[in-house]
Amino acid sequence: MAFHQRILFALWGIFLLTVVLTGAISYLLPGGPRNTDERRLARYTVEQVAQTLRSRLAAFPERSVPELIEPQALDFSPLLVIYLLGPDGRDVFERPVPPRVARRLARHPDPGEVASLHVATQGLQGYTLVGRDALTRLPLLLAMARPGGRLLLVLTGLLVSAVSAVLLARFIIRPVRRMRDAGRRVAAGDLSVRVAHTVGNRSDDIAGLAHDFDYMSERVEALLENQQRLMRDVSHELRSPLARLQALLSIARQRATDPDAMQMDRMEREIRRLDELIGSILAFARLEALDGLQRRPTDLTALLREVVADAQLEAWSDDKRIELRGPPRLVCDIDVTTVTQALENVIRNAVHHTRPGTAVRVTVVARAQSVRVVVEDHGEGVPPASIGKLFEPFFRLESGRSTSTGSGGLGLAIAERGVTLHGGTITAENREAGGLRVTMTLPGPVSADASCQGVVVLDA
Amino acid sequence: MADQGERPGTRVLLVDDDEEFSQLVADYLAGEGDFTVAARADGEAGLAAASSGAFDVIVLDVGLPRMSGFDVLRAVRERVATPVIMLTARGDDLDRILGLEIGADDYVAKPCNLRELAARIRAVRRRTGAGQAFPPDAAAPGRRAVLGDLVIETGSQSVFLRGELIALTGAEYLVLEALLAEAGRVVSKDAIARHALGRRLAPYDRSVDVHIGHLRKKLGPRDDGRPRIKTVRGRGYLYATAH
Repeated sequence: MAFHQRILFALWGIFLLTVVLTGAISYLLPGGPRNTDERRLARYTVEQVAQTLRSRLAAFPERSVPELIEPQALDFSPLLVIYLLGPDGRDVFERPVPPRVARRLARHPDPGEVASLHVATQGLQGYTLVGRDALTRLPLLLAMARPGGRLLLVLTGLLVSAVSAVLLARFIIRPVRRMRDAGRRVAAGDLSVRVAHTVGNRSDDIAGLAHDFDYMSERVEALLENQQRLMRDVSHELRSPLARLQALLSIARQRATDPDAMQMDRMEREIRRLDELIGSILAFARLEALDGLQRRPTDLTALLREVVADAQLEAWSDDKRIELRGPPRLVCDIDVTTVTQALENVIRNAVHHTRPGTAVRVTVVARAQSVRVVVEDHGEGVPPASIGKLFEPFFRLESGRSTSTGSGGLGLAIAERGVTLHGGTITAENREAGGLRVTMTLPGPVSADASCQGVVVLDA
Repeated sequence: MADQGERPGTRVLLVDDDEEFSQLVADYLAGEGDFTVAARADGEAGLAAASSGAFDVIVLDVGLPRMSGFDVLRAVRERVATPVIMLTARGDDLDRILGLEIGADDYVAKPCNLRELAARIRAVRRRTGAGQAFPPDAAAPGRRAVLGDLVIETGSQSVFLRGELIALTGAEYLVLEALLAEAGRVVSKDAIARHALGRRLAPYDRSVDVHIGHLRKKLGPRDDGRPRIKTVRGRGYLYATAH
C-alpha cells in the first residue's frame, strides 16, 4: 500500500477511535446517559402512565385497557415514546414497534428497567407498557454532546493521539532513524552499511528509501574502491621506473670521475622525495580504505617517547629540540599503527617548521573521557585564512616555505584521517607567541590510575 | 657477472620481476668487484635457485609473480639458512615487519641506492658468511657461554635453550649476542643495530624491535615466568639476569 494511503487510513482510524472511545466512556461514566435525570424521568413517566391505567381500570372494570387511554397520552417524543403492547406483542394503536425493542423485550420478559427500556405489566390485564427513551437511540453521540462529554472528547483525543503517535513512530520514525544512523556511519567511512534487511517485508516508500540507500552506498563504495585502487596501482607502477632510475644513477656515480659536478646528490634527493611522496600516497590510500582499527590498550606516553626519539634524530642536525611533557604512563585503547603515524606526521611537521635553535613542545593531557596531545612549534604559523585547509591532502601554503617534510603534503591529511578513525579530532591554530599549535584528541585512558594524573617533563 | 678466477666474491641471488632493474643491479655489483650476481624473475624460479645452496646472499623482492616474496622466504627458510635481504616498498612498514617476522635478515627500501644495497649485502655476508666466523676474535671453536638455562656457542653461532637447539636467523643470533654481552644492563637500540645489522639505526626503523620480538617468541619467558628480554622505553633493551 502506498504511503499516503496508509497515512490517510491511519488518520481516519485515529478520528474514529477517538469518537467511539469518548462515547463509550461517557456512556459508562456516572452521570452518563445510563444514569441521568432524563432516564429517571422516563421511568417515572412510564410508572405514572401505568398507575393512571390501573386506577382507570379499577374505576371502569368492564372497559378494556386500549379504551382507557389515548395514543397522545403515550407520546412524549422526542424524549420518550411509550408503546402499549397487547398479549400478541403488537402495539394496540398499530404504531410500528422497533424490532430491537421487541427483541429485547422477548429476551427479558420481566418488568422493570430492561436494557434501557422501561417496562410495566403489573395489573394491566396482560398488556405491557414499554417506554423507550430518546437516549437509547444514539447513546454515544448524545453522550458526547453533553458538557462533560466534550471535556472527555479532548482527553480521549489526547490519549488516542498519544498512543497512535507511538505506533506511528514505530512505523515511520524507527526505520527513518535507522537510516539516519546508517547515513552517519557511511559519512564516517563505513561504506559496508546496508539497511534494506531492517525494513522486513514492507513494500512502501520507506522500504523503497532503504533500498535506494543501499544502492547509493553500494555505488559510492564501488567508486571509492576504484579510485583507491587506481591510486594504489598508479603509485605502485611509478615505483618500477623510479627504481631503475635510482639504479642507473648509482651506476653513473660508480663510474663518474667527478660525481659532484653532475649534482648527483641532488638527483638522489629528488628521487628519494618522489619515492616518499608515492609512499605517503599509498599510506593515505590504505588509510582511506581501512575498514577497521585494531585497537588494544597501549601506553600512549611510551609510544610518544619512541616517536619523539626518532624525530629527535632528524631534528638534531638542525639544532632543533623536542620537549615531551605528560603523565609517566597513560594507557589508551588505540590502534598503534594509525596513531603512531598520526603523531609522527604532526611532530615531524612541527620539527620541520620550527626555527633552528628552537624547540617543539609536545604536551599530553589526560582527561576522564579523552586524551589531548598538543604539539607546538616556533615557526611562522599559518595565515588564518588557510588554517582550515591544513589537513587537506596536498595543501600548500602560498608563501615559499619548503614543503619537504618527507610526506609530500599528505602528512597532516594522514594524521587527520587516523585521528578521525579513532573518533577523535584534530585542530590547528596559531599561537599568540608565534608558531602553530596542533591539538589532537584521542579516546580516553583505559583506567584512570594515579599515574595518569600530573604532568612531568619526560624528555627535554 | 663472471667468476673472477679463484676469488668468486659474494655470490648473490637476486629475485625480482623487473628484469631491467635486475640487470642494472648486476652491472653495479659487478662494478664493485667482489660480487657475482644471478637473477631470477619469478618466485618459483627464485626458490629453486635459492634452495640449491649455491648462493651466499639472497636479495628478494616482495611483489613477485607466481609466488610472493614472503612465500619464497618462508620456503627458503625451511630449506637453507642463506641470509635473505628483502626489497620492500618505502612506507610499507607492514611488509618490512612481516619479512623480518618470517625470517629475513634485513630489508632495503626499493627504489634503493645501490651503494646502500651493496653495503647491506656485505654486512649480512660478513656476519654469516661461510668460513668467516663473527666476531672474528671469538672464532675459537667450542667457545661456549652459559647464562641460566641458555647456552650460546659463538663458533657455530648456535643457541641452546634447556639443551634444545633454537633455530635463529643470523640477525637474531647477533641481536641476542649483543644483549648477552651486556646481560643485566640496558643496550641501546643503536648499539644493537650496529652489532647485529652492521649499520646505524635510521629514524623510524623498527628492525631491532622486530628481531627482539622474534627472539622473545622463540626463547619464551624465563622459568619463573618473568620476561627474558625487557623493553626499557626510550633507551633500549635489557637481557634480565637471574635475580
